[in-house]
Amino acid sequence: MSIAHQNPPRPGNTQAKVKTLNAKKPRFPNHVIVLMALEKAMSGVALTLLASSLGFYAWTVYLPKLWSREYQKLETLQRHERQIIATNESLKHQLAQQAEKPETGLTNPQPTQSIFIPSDKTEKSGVIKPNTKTEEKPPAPMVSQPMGY
Amino acid sequence: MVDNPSRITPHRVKKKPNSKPTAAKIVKKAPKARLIKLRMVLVWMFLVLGMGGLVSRLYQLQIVQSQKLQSQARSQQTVNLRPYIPRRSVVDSQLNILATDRLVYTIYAHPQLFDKNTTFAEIAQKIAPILGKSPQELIERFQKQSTGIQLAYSLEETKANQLKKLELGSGIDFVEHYDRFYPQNEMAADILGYVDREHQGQAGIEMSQRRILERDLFDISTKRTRDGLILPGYLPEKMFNFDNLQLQLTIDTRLQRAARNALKQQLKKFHAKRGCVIVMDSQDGSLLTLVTEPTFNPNEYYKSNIALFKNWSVADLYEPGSTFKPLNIAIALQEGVIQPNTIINDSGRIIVDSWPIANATHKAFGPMTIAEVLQNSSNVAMVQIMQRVNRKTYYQNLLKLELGKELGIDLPGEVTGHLKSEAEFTSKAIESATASFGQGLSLTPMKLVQLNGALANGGTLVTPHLVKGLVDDHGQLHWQPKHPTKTIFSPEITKKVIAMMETVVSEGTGGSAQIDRYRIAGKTGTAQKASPRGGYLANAKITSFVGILPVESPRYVILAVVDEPQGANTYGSTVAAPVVKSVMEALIFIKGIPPSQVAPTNKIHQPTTKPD
Repeated sequence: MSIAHQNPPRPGNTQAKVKTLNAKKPRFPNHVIVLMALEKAMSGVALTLLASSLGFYAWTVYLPKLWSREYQKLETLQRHERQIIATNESLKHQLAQQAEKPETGLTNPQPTQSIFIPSDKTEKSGVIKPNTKTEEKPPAPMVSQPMGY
Repeated sequence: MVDNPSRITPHRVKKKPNSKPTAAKIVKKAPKARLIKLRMVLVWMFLVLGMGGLVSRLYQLQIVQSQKLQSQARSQQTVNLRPYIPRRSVVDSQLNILATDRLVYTIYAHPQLFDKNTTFAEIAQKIAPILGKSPQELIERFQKQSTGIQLAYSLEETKANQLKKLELGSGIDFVEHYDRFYPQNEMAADILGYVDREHQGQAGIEMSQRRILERDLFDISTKRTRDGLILPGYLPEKMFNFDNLQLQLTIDTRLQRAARNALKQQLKKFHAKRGCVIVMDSQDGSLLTLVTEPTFNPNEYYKSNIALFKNWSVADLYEPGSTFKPLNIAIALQEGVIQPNTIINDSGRIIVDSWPIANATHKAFGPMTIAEVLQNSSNVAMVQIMQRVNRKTYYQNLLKLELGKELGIDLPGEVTGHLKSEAEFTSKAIESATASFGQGLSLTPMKLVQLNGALANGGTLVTPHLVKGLVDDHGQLHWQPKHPTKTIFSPEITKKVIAMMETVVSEGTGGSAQIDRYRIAGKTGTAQKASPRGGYLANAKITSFVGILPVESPRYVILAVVDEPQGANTYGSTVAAPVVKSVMEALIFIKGIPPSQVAPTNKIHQPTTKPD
C-alpha cells in the first residue's frame, strides 16, 4: 500500500521501513468506483443546474422586469393616444362652434363660391395642346439650395 | 458487526503489531461499544422519527391540506390583468371621432390612512384645485368620515395622474373604469344615443350596434412573482390580440352641423315644437345627415328629458300630407291612368262620400297638367287622379310601398307606418280620396325619405342606414352590412315624376328652396296633425319639404320636417323649405356637386306665402 519502494531511498531514512508495493494501479472497490462515477455525473448535473438556474433567473426575474417596463410604456402610449384623440376632437368641435358665432365674421360656404373647372374636352379626344404641356410640369421647388452659403 | 469491534479494522490490527488489542482493551472497550450502539440507536431513532415527521408533514401538506394550499398559492401567484380593450369608437364618414372610450377614475379618500405627519388642511390644500373643490369643504368631509369618502366620480385621466403624483399613499384610492366620451357633444346625439354608467348602450347606435361596439372585456389571470412582477410566459395569446377596428357611420359631421344649425334657427324663428332633417344618398340608402331637434348632450345624458333619447324620425308617425303626392302621381303613371300632359280640371271643391274636399287655399286652379297639379299642390285634382285608379289596385300599390313594414334601419325603436285595412280602404271612397293627398295614412319621416329615394334612384326601395362598416385606422373597410333592396317603380316613371317635382321648385310652392344654377326637385307639405282622439287638431300642423338633387342625375334626398310651427305664415314652403335649401347649399359644397348647364336664374324666388 505504500509507494515508497519506487523512490530512491532517501539519505537518512532507515531502509528497513521501506516496503515494496506492487506497481499495479490501485484497485478501488466497486462501490468507490460507482461513487466516483456518481461524483462525476453529479458535477455535470450541478453545472447544468447552475446554468439552468441562471436561465430560470433570467426568465422569472429579468424578463418579467423587462416585460413590465415595456407594458408600462405601452400603457403610457395608449393613455397619450386617448388624451390626444379626445383633445383633438374637442378642439375641432370648439373651432366649429366658434366659427358659427357671427362675431367671427365667418359665413357658411355657398355653392356660388365654389369654382368648377369644366373638363377639358380636348384631352378626352386625345389631342393635347402644346401649351398645356408646359403647365403640367411640377413647379420648381421654392428654394432648391440654401441661399447665402 | 458492532458487537465485534476487532472485525471492523481487521488488517490494520494485523499490520500494526504494536496496536494489537489486548484483552484488557477489549474489556475496556465493551462499555464504549455499548455507548456507540446506544448512540447509533439514538441517531437511528432520531432519523427515523425525523423521517416519520417529514412524511407525516408531507402527508399533511400534500394530501390533507393540498387543496386549500393549492388554492392559496394560486391566489398568491395569479394576478388579474385587465388590458385596455375599449368599446369600439364611432367615427363619421370623414373618420372624425364621434364617440370614444376614455379611462376615468372614481376617487375615494380614507382620512384614517393619511400620513400622520400631515394635517387634513395640507392635504385638502393640495388636492382641492385638482378636484375643483374648496379646501374647506374637503376638510369638513375628512373630519366627518374616517374612510370611504367619494371625492370624485369619473375624474379625467390627466387630473387623476396629477393626484397620483402627489403621492398621498393609501389615503387616496383610485378606482379605474371606462367612460364614453362624445367630443362633438350633441352634434350627433340623436344618432349615437348614449352609454350609461354600466357602460351599456341605451339609445341610438350605441344600443342597436351593441354587439359590434362591445368587445369582450376579458380579465387575464397570469402568474406573478413574489415581487408582483408578471411572468409574461404565462400570458395568453389573446392578450394583445384584439383588432383596432372602429365603427364608421355614413354621417358627415360637417353636413350634420350645417343641418342642425339651419333647423335650430328655423325652430326658434317659428317657436316650433320639434324638427328633423334627413339627408340620404338614394343610391345605397346611406344617411349623410340625421338631425332631430331638440336633442341632448350624450356626455350629460342624465340631465336630459328621457323623451329625447328616442329618435322621433323613426319612432313617431305623422301624416305626410302633400309630400306624399308625388308618390301617388307615380302610382297613377305606373297604372297608366294619366300621362304628364293629362289635363285635370280643378273646380276648387269635390264631394266624396258626402265629405267636401277643398284645396288648402280654397281656390279653384282650373284645368292643369299633372306638373301643375303638383306645383299648386291641388287636393281636388289629386282626388280626381287617384279616383281613376281602381281602389283595390291603389291599395295594392300602397302595400308595395311597404308602409306597414319596418325599414330595417340601424336605429332602435323603429315603428312601422299605418295604412287602413284593405276592407276599409276599398269600401269607402273617402279613404282613397284622403290618401291621394297624403292624409289618412301615416309614416315616419324616415319612411318618406326612403320613398322619395325610390323616386330619385329610378324606383328602388333602399334601406336607409347609418352604419357604413368597420374600418381600421387607415379608413379601410373590413366589414359592411348588407341591405336588401326592392324595386317599386320603373325608371321611366320616376324620371317623369322628378321632372314634375323640378317644376314645383322652379315654378311652384317650393321656390324658396331654389339654388342658382342648380336643378332641384322638391315638394312641400303642410299636413294637419291627427288628434289622438280621432279627427284632426285645429291649430297643430306639421310642415315638411322634401328635396331631390341634382335633377340631371338624382341622388340626394333631403327632408326637413318641422312640427307645430307657430304663427300665421307657416307652411312647408316657408318653414321647412329654407332649411332644406341651406342643407343643400352645404351638401353641394361638401360633395362638390357641379352646377347644371342651365342659364342662371334671374330671380330667386322669395318664400311664398302660398300654402301647399
